[in-house]
Amino acid sequence: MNNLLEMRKIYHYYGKARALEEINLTIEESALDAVIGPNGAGKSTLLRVISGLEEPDRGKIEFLGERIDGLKAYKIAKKGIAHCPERRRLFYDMSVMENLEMGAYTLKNRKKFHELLDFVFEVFPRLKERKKQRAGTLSGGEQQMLAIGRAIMANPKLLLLDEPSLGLAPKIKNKIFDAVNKIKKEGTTTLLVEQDAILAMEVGENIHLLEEGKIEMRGTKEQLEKEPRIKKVYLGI
Amino acid sequence: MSLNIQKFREKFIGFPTYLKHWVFTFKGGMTLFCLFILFLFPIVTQNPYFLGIFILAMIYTIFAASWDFLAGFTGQVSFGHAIFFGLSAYGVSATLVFNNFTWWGALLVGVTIAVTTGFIVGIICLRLKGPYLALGTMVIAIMLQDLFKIGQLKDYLWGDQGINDVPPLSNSSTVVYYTILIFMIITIIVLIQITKTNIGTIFKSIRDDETGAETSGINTTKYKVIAFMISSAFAGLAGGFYAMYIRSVGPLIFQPLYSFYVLIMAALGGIATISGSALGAFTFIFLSEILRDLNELDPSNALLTAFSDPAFIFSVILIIMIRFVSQGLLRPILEHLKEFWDILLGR
Amino acid sequence: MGVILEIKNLTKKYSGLTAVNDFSFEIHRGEFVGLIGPNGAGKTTIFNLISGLERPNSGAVRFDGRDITGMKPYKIVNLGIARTFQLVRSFRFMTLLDNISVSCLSSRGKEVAKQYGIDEYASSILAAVGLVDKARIPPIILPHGDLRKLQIGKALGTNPQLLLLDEPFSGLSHEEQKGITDLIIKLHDDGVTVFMTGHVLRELMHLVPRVVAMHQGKFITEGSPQEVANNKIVLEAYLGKGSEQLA
Repeated sequence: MNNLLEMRKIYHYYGKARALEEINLTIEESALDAVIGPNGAGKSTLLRVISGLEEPDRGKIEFLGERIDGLKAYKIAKKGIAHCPERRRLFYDMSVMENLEMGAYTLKNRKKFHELLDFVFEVFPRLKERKKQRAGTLSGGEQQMLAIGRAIMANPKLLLLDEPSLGLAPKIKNKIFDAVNKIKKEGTTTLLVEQDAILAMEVGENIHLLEEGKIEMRGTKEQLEKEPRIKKVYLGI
Repeated sequence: MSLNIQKFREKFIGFPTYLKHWVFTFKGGMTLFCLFILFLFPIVTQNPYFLGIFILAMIYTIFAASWDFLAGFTGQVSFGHAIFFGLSAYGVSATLVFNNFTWWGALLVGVTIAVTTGFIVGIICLRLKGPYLALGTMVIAIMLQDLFKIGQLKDYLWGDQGINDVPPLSNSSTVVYYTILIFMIITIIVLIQITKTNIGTIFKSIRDDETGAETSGINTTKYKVIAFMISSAFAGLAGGFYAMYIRSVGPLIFQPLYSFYVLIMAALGGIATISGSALGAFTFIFLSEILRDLNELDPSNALLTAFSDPAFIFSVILIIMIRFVSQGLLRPILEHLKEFWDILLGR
Repeated sequence: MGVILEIKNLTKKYSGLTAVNDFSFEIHRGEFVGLIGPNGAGKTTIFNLISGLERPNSGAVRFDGRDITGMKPYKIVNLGIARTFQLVRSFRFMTLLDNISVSCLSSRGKEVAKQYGIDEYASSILAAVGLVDKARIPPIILPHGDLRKLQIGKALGTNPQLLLLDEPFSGLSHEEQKGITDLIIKLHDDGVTVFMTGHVLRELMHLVPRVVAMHQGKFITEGSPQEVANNKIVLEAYLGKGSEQLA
């Protein structure tokens, strides 16, 4: 298995506040990795540093053997990394279909576009029903589906999902994570960042526990399930 | 109680030593040198034209210093300082022409009008911040211009013509010169001293972080209005002198141009320095005079006409300054001079 | 030990979103209480409602028996409630000493500071938070930990009875966190009632004897840190459904 993404000794600061400290992370092809941790741990920052929205202050990031730290975000996107940001950030005045088309902006192959569109509608049938609806009028769960769908339309080699369950009811959360599972089965490598540790551990193959910018521990669901350290990281005790 | 008396005594006794040291600093030496020139100038020449240029510069110094105080030390940038300038000018002119006041009586009236207006404007603009405050003050100034020129009350307010034949402060240009010089020095000293007091600290805190000041227990509303009143008082002082110098006043005194002139002067000399206003004002006025001659070289040349208009030149300068030199143009030049001074004194 | 702060049925709504929902609890004089809850739970909103930066839609805040709901922030400060902010703020272009002096010039702070002289009193506060050697420096060049200490110093300048600390630890290294912890403990020992909130629970949960937990604007539970950390709803709020096993 090749290493799709490699982060080595990544440090990042917001002004003087430390956000990421000595992050070493490797993601293999076709894997579904999840990063869990309490708020403020630096999960979103981790994704932003990968997708280029922030430039890391120290360290190296390699994607498919090529260095990408320091590159502008749109260049990194072109290389095949799709970032589905925290709180969705859709084009709220555009329709579902238009949002999906925007996601395929970097796509060169027209045939692939229809393939991907079919896949998105298969994973999220609700979106197909509401093709022409304005994104701003969708429910929270539907918006999250559209955000993920939009990211898929870029035919990414690496999909970054930032807190997809944020603000959603438990039933909808489950639907979203079923979809994430389907996406993983298709072969798309996914890095998922989640506050909801239980849900993340259900889908994730490799789990990384982030606390105050540092990776405290990592393992599979079975390894971490009985770990009292998770509770300690989230609740301090 | 005794602590205050003790502090006062320390300051009082320490002053001469402080002064002695201050003279030898670059700033102190420069200031003394400029004051020296200013005091000696009327002895060198009694030509009303030359004296007039200096007088105008000194009036604008007071005006610009009042603006700098409000903007640089309390963070409230006004684009309509002509409000206080103009209303005071009208008040002074009216009481001089129609009520036969003495010059200082008229000035008192003018300043009172300006302070009262400052209070009102301060309250009106309380909720406005940043660009909205600037626009708000500018709009009020324009409204005043209309009010005096074409509004319903224009007949009571002397309309287009305004008030003419305003008696000067004195028939001797030299007396006028020295009077205004003294008032200019007092203005700068008073404003600088205010910024060094506790109330000055409060003003600066409002400038740096208004919410932070509020949550430190400061009644920001009260102090913002006080700042407006102090600033408008001195703007009114300048306006009163202006009326007595130009010897007439009309609705055009409220036009945005005058408000922007002061802004440029204060910015040129360095915002939040107070004394920089003097540098800015004098530079501005001198350059205006020189440029005026430029136009007379060849009145038909359009380019020359454009360049001889101070408004044009200074707008360009202001844009360049905002983009590249936000601390004031003259400061870096003065910094270099300061190095020269240090070398001179062998440091 | 009287009740120093009483929150009754506090509700705050924004268009479509209820940030604080019928929230009630009490703090007694001299207590040391923590407020926890996952992101978006409404913690900072509660602080804003107490300190007057926002008005509630309904409900009341009582301080020392007196209704302070919706009062202007500076008046609340002068009654004896001081706060720090999650995102550090300071008077950037003034010296550290002047930063503290501003608080000492509030009407409440002045009562005490006048006796010693404003500058002297401000200096002593700087010394108390460990920043006196940087008195003449503006905050712009200070490290994050010092800025957090400065915030606490500014709050102290108003001579508070109740200190609200909003996320005093975030963004700090472990040593810096320890420094703040020591400072807070000292303040509490001196008689100040401390009410703090935070995400970095590792320090907080070992610091306070009592914790209040909230989620989605609602009160969940309160008790000792152990009790609260083992509470089913709290675990679910932080870790997701089905997390009792981790207790």
